Amino acid sequence: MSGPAVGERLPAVMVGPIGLADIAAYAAAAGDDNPLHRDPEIARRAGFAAIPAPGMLLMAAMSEYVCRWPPAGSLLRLDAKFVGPVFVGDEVLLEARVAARGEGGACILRLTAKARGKLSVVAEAEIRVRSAL
Amino acid sequence: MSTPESGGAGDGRELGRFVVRTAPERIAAFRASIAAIFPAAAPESAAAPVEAAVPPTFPIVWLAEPEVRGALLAALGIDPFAGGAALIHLEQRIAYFAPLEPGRAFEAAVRLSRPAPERATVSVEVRDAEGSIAVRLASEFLLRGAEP
Repeated sequence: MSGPAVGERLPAVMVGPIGLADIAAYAAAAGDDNPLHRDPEIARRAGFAAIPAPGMLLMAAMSEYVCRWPPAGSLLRLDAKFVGPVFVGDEVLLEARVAARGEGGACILRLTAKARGKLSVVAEAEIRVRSAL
Repeated sequence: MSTPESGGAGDGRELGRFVVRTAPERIAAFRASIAAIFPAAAPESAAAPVEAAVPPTFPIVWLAEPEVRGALLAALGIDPFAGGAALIHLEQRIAYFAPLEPGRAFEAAVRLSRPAPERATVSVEVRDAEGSIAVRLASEFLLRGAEP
């Protein structure tokens, strides 16, 4: 089987720092004006120490991270769990590795996003690799 | 995390079927907002080409369409946008069955289930004009402040 090997790691990428303006721009573009992501009092009442970035903004960055990996062809599936907050001002480290190869050139990637050294998002992507097209 | 029903339409009550679109201007704004934190996502980036012009997570914007959001919030009985329970996104699954092309209209069937009083699962099945499935979304939310 040609293409990426199980265990191969994608080059890590740092995104951000994520500012309030970035969150506002994403909220406007996505239509997601959830006050949790702009009102510090609502964030505090919801149990957050500061305003958290939308999980979908991080997932969007992770999707681009995967799709711009040179072997990546089409994205078949992307699943993400938002396990910890990314706060305003945080930088986010994106990492991924090939976890498995499937039939027809499919490739399973496990991804993480970390802020302040802590897991923020764990994700799994299934892609079709270009070499198998 | 990898399950057969990943991104599945799921169970629950159907809230309606809505027309949603891959409007080019909205795609451009969405991509620009991602590129603000991840510059390789910019259209002019010299990074490896991406087959789909529509960003992979773009379909999430359809949950925020006024008709869809209105139906969801009415069914949930909350309004986090007016000081009600906080809506916290816990998990998102997206399965892709066909490329989403800009400038097209789709039909989104939206379902809601409540596995627990403080939890909500929104499932969306998106079909093209020919009736072929294009994308499935499944979103898990925590309604903090909605506990009995």
